Parts: sequence; structure tokens; C-alpha cells
Amino acid sequence: MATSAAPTAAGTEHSATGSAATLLTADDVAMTYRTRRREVTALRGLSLDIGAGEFVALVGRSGCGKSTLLRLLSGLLPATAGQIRVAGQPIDGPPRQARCVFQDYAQSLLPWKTVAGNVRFGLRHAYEPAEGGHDERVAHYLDLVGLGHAADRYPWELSGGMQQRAAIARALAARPQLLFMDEAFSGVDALSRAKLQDVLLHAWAEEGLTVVFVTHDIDEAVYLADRVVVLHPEGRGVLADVRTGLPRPRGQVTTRELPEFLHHRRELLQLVLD
Amino acid sequence: MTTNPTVTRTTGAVPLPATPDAISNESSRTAGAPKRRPWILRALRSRAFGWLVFAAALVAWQRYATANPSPRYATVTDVAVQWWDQILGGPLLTATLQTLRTMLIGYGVAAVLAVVIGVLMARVRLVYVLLEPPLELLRPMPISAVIPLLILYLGIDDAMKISVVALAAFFHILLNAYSGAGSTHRTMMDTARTFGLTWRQTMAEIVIPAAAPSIFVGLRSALAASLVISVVVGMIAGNDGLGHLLMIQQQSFQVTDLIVGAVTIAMLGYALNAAFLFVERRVLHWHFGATRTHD
Repeated sequence: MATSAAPTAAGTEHSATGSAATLLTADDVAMTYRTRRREVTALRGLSLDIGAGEFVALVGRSGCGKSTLLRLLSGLLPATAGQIRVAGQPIDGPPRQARCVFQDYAQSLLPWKTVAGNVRFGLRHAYEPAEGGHDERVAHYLDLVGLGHAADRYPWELSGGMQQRAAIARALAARPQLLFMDEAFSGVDALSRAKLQDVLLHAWAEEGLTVVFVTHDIDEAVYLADRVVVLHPEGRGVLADVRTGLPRPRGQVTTRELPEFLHHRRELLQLVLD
Repeated sequence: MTTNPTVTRTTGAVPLPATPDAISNESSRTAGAPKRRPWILRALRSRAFGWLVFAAALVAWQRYATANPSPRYATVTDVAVQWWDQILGGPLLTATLQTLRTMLIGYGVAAVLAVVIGVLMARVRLVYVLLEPPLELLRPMPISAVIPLLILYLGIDDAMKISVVALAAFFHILLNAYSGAGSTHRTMMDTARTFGLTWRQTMAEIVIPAAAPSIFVGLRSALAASLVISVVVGMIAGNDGLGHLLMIQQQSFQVTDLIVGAVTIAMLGYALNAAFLFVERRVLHWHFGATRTHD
């Protein structure tokens, strides 16, 4: 059941990154929060290049600034120093070619619209206008995340995992080049989570996306990504940048049993814990 | 609130619930077989029982008024017959329509203005800074204190009456629109930003729908206020409407007609509220659904 949604052959082409053009660049970025009494530097001296088509996971201990970094990269928060560029252009606010999937799906989906209505919202506010009729595009994205049967239901009638799938379908309907995900799967139960991971990998392979995925779960990072970026615990930039290169397509059972998976898992856990 | 079974199960008697609603919610949620209430308690809790008591009171009034005729009060049947005669035509119908018209125009003007100003105040700092001082000074002023001033400037015709009703309704809606539009969840606003919505699209597609439940709370209390004020302003201006009609009847001691007028206002209020709830259930069906499934 879970493996059926895993990436098809198209997914293997993706893993041959490295030669791809840089899509997202963070150049010596810093973020300092100013309160009336003091200044708190959440992040400084961070530089990162992400190529088109990559699947990158950002991990690190809590308080390392990984969510701050994602808000900076997605343009929701202006950096206090340094520069972020998308396709070579310095950003000033959320870049047009990016969409976000938030952890708090219940506050992100529009409760007054059905699941199909939410996907239609993504189509209406798309980076690239959809080809073909709206209805068939809606059906396409709902099928892509396995929600074809729930089109006419309201988000609050669905389980957490299904709501997050609807949020992914809505983001994909906007045909972004970049997808930012902030702890997107931490609010759902373990089984739904495994299903969501495979839905995401499938969609990534199908839609030719670049994904930046913030998580505190090392297993999830290794399972999903080709590249795991570990942030320094005190917000001093990148601690390690690990290219895992696990074979695709990935399967919840087989991939997690691979010696390379266990090797990277151990390596990354030690990096995060020490 | 929950009654602990080990403590309360002493005799066969059912302990009287402290607050009936809290208990009924509790028992409908617990998975164990809910104890079926004795029929007498179920009957006492039904809405029909309340109406039955009301009907009994009417019967008692009727019998008393027939047994002790007096010009100081009227029988229920007299009131009913009079009402039926007058509502089909004549001064009562005219007055009702005049009051209803004043009320609906004033309410409509207030609704549009208050929603627009409330949303702008919540979302545009400059509008808030400019409008907060005058509105905060105007708000606590009793509407009756403003009427003489408005009569001076606007006379005693439609312009004045509609303004008074609009003013009375305005603040109920404004405060709720303001707080609703100001409390859109951050993730919802981030969603709007990342999907590249313009300011106007964000207002129309995110902020106003999200504020709709709050706006409806304001619209509902404003509806009640509008009806009261549209009757009162007719009394003060003294030229038309139900308020004016009631004053004339009071002066000529027509008790039956006075009661007929009061009954008409009550029924008008009931009908307006029912219509409001009908619209609200349709517009906010998603909200009622979402809050019902939420724990």
C-alpha cells in the first residue's frame, strides 16, 4: 500500500543532481530578532546553494534556527544581513516560483472551501498558468496525492494526514519550481506520516520540483532527501552537508533496511546530538 | 461538572443535574451506554414544554380578562382579532412597513460601512490611527443623546431616522469586523503571501471570509438594536412608524390597539431573527461544521 505511491522511474533521474543549475542561494545570511530589551541572533553566517530538482532536508537541534532559515528562504521574513537569491534574483518577499506547506495544516487550508475548492485556489494563484481545463487540473492534483474521493469534502471533515495531502495538492496546483515544507509531517500519526512521505516523493518525481524540507526527524530526512544539511546548534551556519545518494525509488521497508541508510542515520544522529 | 457514579449512586433517585446542558453534553460524549432519562424529565426538557406553558398563560389571561372585563386590559381573542383586521391594511400595516423600511435601510448602510471600516482599521495602520480617536469617543455615547442633534441637522424625516438606526447598528458590527479581521491566523496570512495574493485578493479571499463568523455575531446584535431604535426614533420624531402609532394609541387609551402594536413588534423581531439565522446557517455552514467536529 505504502510503496505503491513511491516514485516511478522518473524519480531516478532526479537523484543525478549536482550538475543542475543553482535555483536557490543563501549568501552569508543572518537573522537577528530585536526586542525592546535585547537582540537575539537566531542565525548568522549561513551560506547554502540548492540546485534545481534537488530534494534537500534541513535538520538540526531545536533552537538551531532551521524554521527561521526556512522563513528566510521562503521570503516570509526579511534577513537582517546577507542575501537570498532565487534563480539569480535577490528576493524581496516570497518568490513567485515558490510555495509552502506548513506544519499547521488546519490554519493553512481554507475551511470555507472544499478540498477541490482549495486546490482551485492554488490553480487561480499559480506561478505558471495551468494547461487544460480547471476541473481536470483539480482532478489531476487530487489524484496525485490520492484524494480523488474526497474532492467535495471540507478540510475539517478529514483526518490530519488527508488535510496535509490536500495542502500539498493545493501547493502543487500552483505549479511552483520550489516547495518549502516546514515540519510538515510532524503533526500526524506515524502511519499517515509514512504515507505522506511517499505521496511527497511521488509528487516530487512527477512534477519536477525542488524541495526544501525542514524536519527534526533524522530518519525522515535520510528517507526523503538526497542531501541532508545539518545546521549548527547555536545558529552559526551549516555544520555539515551530507549527500546520501540512496537509490530511488525508495520504499518504507526496503530503503530503511539498507546499510547506507543506517550508516547515514548514525552519522547524522551523531552530528545532531554532539 | 461530571457526576461521579460511585459517589452519587446511593438510592434509585436520579441526582438533579447542576446545569442540564453540561450534563447532557457529557453523557452524549461518553462511550458507555447513556442512562435513559425518565419520560417526565425528558418532557420537561423539550422545547415544546416551554411553548405549552406559554399557551397556558395565554389561556389564563383570556379567562381572567373575560371574567373581569375592564378598559385597562383586553382579552387574547380581542387582540388576535384586532391584529388580524389591522395587519391586512390600515394604519398598523402602514406603520409596520414604515418602521421596517427605516430599519432595513439603516441596518444595511451600517453593515456595509462597518464591515469596510472595521476591516480597513484592522489591516491599514493609518486608517486605524486616524479613526480610532473619534470612534472611541463616539462609541460610549448613548444613541438617545445624539437624536436631538441629528434632528437639528437632518430634520425629522427619513434622513434622520435612517442615520439614527445606522448609528445604533454601526458599532456592534464595527467592533466585531475589526476584531475578526485583525485576528486572521498567521499561517493563513503566510499562505496568502506565498501564493502571491495582492492586498485586495488577500482581503476578499482570506481576511473577510475568515472574519465572517465574527462579523455575523455583530450583525446579529445589530439587528436587535436596529429594531429597537427604529421604533424609538418614530416615537421621538412623532410622524410615522410603529413608535408613533403606539404613542397615539397610548394617548387615546386604546389598550387593545397598544397590545396589538407591541405584539406586532415582537413578531417582527422574531421573524427578522429567524430570517437572519436562516441566512447565517447558509453562509457560515462551514464554520458550524468545523466547530462541531473540533474538540
